[in-house]
Amino acid sequence: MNSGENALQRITEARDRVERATKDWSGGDLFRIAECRAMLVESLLELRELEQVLRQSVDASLGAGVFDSASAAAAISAVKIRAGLNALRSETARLERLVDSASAFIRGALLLTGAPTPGYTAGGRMQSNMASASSSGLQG
Amino acid sequence: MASLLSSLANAGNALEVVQRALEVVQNNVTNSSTPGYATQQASFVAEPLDIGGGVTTGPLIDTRDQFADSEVQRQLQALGLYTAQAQSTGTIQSFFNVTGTSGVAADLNNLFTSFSAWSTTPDDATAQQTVISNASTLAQDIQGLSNSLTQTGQQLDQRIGSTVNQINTLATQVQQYNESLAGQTQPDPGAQANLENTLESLSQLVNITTLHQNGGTITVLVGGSPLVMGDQQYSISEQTAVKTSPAPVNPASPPTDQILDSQGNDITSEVTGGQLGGLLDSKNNVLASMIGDGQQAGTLNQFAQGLADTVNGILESGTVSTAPGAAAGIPLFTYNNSDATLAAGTLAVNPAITPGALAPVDASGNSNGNANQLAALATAQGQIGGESFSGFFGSIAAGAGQANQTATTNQTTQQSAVSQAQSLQQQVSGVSLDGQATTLLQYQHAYQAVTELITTINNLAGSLMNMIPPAGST
Repeated sequence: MNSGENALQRITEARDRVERATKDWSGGDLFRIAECRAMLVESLLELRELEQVLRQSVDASLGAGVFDSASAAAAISAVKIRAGLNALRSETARLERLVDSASAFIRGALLLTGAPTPGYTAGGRMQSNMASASSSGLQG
Repeated sequence: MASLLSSLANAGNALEVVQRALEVVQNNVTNSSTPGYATQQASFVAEPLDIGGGVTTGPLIDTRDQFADSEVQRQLQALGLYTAQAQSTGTIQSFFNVTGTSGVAADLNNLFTSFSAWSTTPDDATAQQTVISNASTLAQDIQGLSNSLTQTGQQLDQRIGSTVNQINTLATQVQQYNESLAGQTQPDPGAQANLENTLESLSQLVNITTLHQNGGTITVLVGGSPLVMGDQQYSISEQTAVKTSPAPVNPASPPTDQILDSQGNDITSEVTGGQLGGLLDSKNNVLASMIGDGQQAGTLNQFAQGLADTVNGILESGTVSTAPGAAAGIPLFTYNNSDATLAAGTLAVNPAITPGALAPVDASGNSNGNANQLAALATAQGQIGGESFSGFFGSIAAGAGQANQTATTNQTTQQSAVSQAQSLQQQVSGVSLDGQATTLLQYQHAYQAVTELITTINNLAGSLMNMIPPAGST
């Protein structure tokens, strides 16, 4: 397997795992959420491997890489890798929407209980200091 | 003696209480698959000791959670919207051949090819006839496409009308539920299950807001307009007409669909969800952008008019031969120019055109100057909307495909979101949220862990994308 094929293989594996995570996601089931998380970790590991492959290719001194040739084949693999990464991002966007929707539900439920609700930064991250964030209310 | 009597009485009460509790359980089991049914719990009330103690039955406790119910309704509204959009845009997309091997895109290519062949043999009758034949095929297919889209618009009108009728029928059921509450002391689980089912059906059809009023009645709003308040129903209606405000630029355009409240006020802009929202979007936005409405010509009409005017302009600027006094060229295409939205639907080859009436000679007297100009249209940019004619039509087709793809993806995701909301609804049904803060936080942390991973994957994918050299640089 050459490095171009290797790169494409890594993307396919990474996307497949996100797809499986999305398919198996259930916001009301902690066990399924943990499984989904494990899938995402595997996806992330595939992307880390892809990163290594690409870095080696960018370094021309290492010889035949993914993009070191002006050939049509190199151009095609760049297009395919770009398309694969875009597909991966579309899939993560789908999962993100589901997680956001479940998260919004739980935040609303927490408000009903009167419990201090987690606050969120402008970037959507949960603030670690819950007490200081209790007045931030619903987001998303 | 008194103690023994009261003990016997207590035992009798307890048996009644147990019997009552069993009835409630039996009812729950019987209704376990009834749509919208929420588990009922029997409650027990301790009798004061001074009258002998013991227990008696208390009121039924409905475990329905309004928060969870409204979340399911909210997700169903989005599903209804995306499903209607996916269906409608799927139909629209099917009229465009994305491969370009047939239909308007292929006809256009054939016409330009025939212009090119004609430019090399401007006096050849066969080449002239091929130009006219290909122009005729193109005009017919543009007309056919326009008609198909117009018919789709009429079908959407009908679906919008029937959806409005369904909404009013369901609103009647809510109004009847509100009426039935008068004089009731105990909640009727069966009626509540029906109500919940009705509200879920209504949510799939239109974006509603439900408000639970004192006394148990439900107020249903569409946007900010009431649909049901207490025992009053305020039916909505559909109106299909070219909007008169602002004054229409294209009075002969396809009509726009409007939703009116019971007072006749236009509330179309408030209908943003459910099947009705999706159908309105497909009709008033997606389709109107192609075949026009009171304010816009529509891209297909722009294309038809732009192509006809450009080709006709070139032909009319020249003559049929280089001989002195040769006849001026006449238009190849005709269309009804009384209204910008009629161009595509009326585009045809000029009935007066004959092979000999085509004018290959340009105004400067070049024997094939006009024919060359026409052939060059195949690739000339900036003809319409900054693009070539082929590029512009390709954009219309791509827009239809993109709209369908987006709607279909949204629909798939939303189906998962609805399932999730229903699952969460089941989770909280029968559970006191007040005691569940710790569990809820556990879920919240689990979601957060997943979100962190998604963010990391997205960021890494973005970095990897930047490592790929841009197209053409390899």
